[in-house]
Amino acid sequence: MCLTYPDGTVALTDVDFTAHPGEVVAIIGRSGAGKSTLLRCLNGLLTPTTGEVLFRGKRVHSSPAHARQVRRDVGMIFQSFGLVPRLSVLINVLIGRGGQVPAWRGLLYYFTDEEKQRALRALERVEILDQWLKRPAELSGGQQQRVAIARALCQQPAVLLADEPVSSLDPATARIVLDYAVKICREDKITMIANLHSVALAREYSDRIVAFRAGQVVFEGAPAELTDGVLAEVYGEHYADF
Amino acid sequence: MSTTPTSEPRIVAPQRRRTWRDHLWTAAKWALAAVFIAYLYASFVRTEFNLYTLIEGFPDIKRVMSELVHPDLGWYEYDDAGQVKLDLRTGAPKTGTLPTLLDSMNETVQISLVGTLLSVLFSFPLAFLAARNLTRGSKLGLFVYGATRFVFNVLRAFPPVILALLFVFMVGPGPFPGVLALGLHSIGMLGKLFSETIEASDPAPLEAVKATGASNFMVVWYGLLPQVVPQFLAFSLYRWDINIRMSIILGIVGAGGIGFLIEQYIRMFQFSKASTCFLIILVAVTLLDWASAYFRERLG
Repeated sequence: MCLTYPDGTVALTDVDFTAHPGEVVAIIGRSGAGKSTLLRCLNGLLTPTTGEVLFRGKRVHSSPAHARQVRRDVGMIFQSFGLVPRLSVLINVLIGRGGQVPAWRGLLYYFTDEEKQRALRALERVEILDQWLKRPAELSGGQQQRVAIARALCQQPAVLLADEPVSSLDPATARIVLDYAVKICREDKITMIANLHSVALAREYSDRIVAFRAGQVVFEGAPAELTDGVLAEVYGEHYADF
Repeated sequence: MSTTPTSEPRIVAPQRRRTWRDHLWTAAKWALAAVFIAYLYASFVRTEFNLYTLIEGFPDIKRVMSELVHPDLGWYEYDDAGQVKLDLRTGAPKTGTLPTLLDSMNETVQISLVGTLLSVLFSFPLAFLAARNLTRGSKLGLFVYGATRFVFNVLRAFPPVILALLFVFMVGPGPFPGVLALGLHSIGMLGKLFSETIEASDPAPLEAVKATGASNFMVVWYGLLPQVVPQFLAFSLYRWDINIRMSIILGIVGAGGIGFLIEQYIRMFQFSKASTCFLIILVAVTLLDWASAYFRERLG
């Protein structure tokens, strides 16, 4: 798979990798290595210039409608959380059902009891149920990211994409948030693909690490195989393992 | 007291060398200033600005002012003997200046209310078509964006008074042409403000909603709308505030409301009645201004 942006920036070249069901894959690499671009290709937010992304054996990009269909089964969380301001935590989680709700109900912000129950259960699993009436701005960064996890969970996804999920959080909060995300993915057999800036976190939480450099995969393997030599290749000479 | 160590060398900030272009630019700026001053002088000549005329008109000013400070606040119309005038046909007392004016001020407010509401209803959906962040990506989107923007600019370009003059000829005098004029002009104004609010919104929630597999409609309705609605309401209230004052002027060209009477009273030298108009406008505009500011503050 390759992707070149309209302005000529080459983001991804000859990327080829597979994530197996239930696996936790960490993607590491320097800023601008193409990690975020890759994630957005996986759920069809971006279309690769050449090559294809297969989900359950079907091309994600075969049509915009199919890409949308795929996104319903693929949750995503972001570095900036992507919560909608001025809507309650509960509604933000219910947005996870946004792909399934018929337009007339969406128009009126009307959700069924079953949908609300599902959203509340998702909030319960990230242990933030008591905050369901609040607005995102009233929560801390870690709590906001947990709401975002609940939103993805409300989709009952097969895959969870995480784009730098903890880069804007302090190290302790980062662990708490990742604990929730990885625990839930393991319990529900959700495949998790996470871009991480921290090599330590990637080593700790993932089954497999894929390393990018300038849009190309330079390493793919178990955390134990990630040697200092490989890291020097990924991050250049500026790398020091803390 | 501090002493500068002599060992440290003086820092010479790097200077930009002035080229002939820089000198030309300086000359052009001075020339422009000279032209502007000349034009300013010509403007005073053209507008017949003359302090002597102002002094010469002093007796008239005194007469007008003496009537203006005595607004006609009668509830009924009185004759010279101080008796209430009666309607010759029905025998009922004739309504005076105050109730008549209160009624037409009410009409002015109602014109502005209906005009503003109509403009909000039309500019709300149109604003989404005129927002660059929602329309980019396809040729059709770009065309729709350009076309909607153009419509907004055209509507904004014509002052409501001009539009009202046209509508008075089309649908006849009365409040309705006023509503049409205010409504059309405000669509242009609000459409521009609304679409700029949409463009300034945070794209992160939109992407997040899109990533759930939601349709484009749902992305806008859930990711964008909660971000912009409070601003939309604040702009609409502010527009109503402006439109109240606008609709006073519209009466002068025959589009209903209190402006129509102001024009008549002044033409007929009835300055104490005109004064009542001014008083009512002052009170009404102040009250509505407070109300609008109060609600806008609560929205912010």
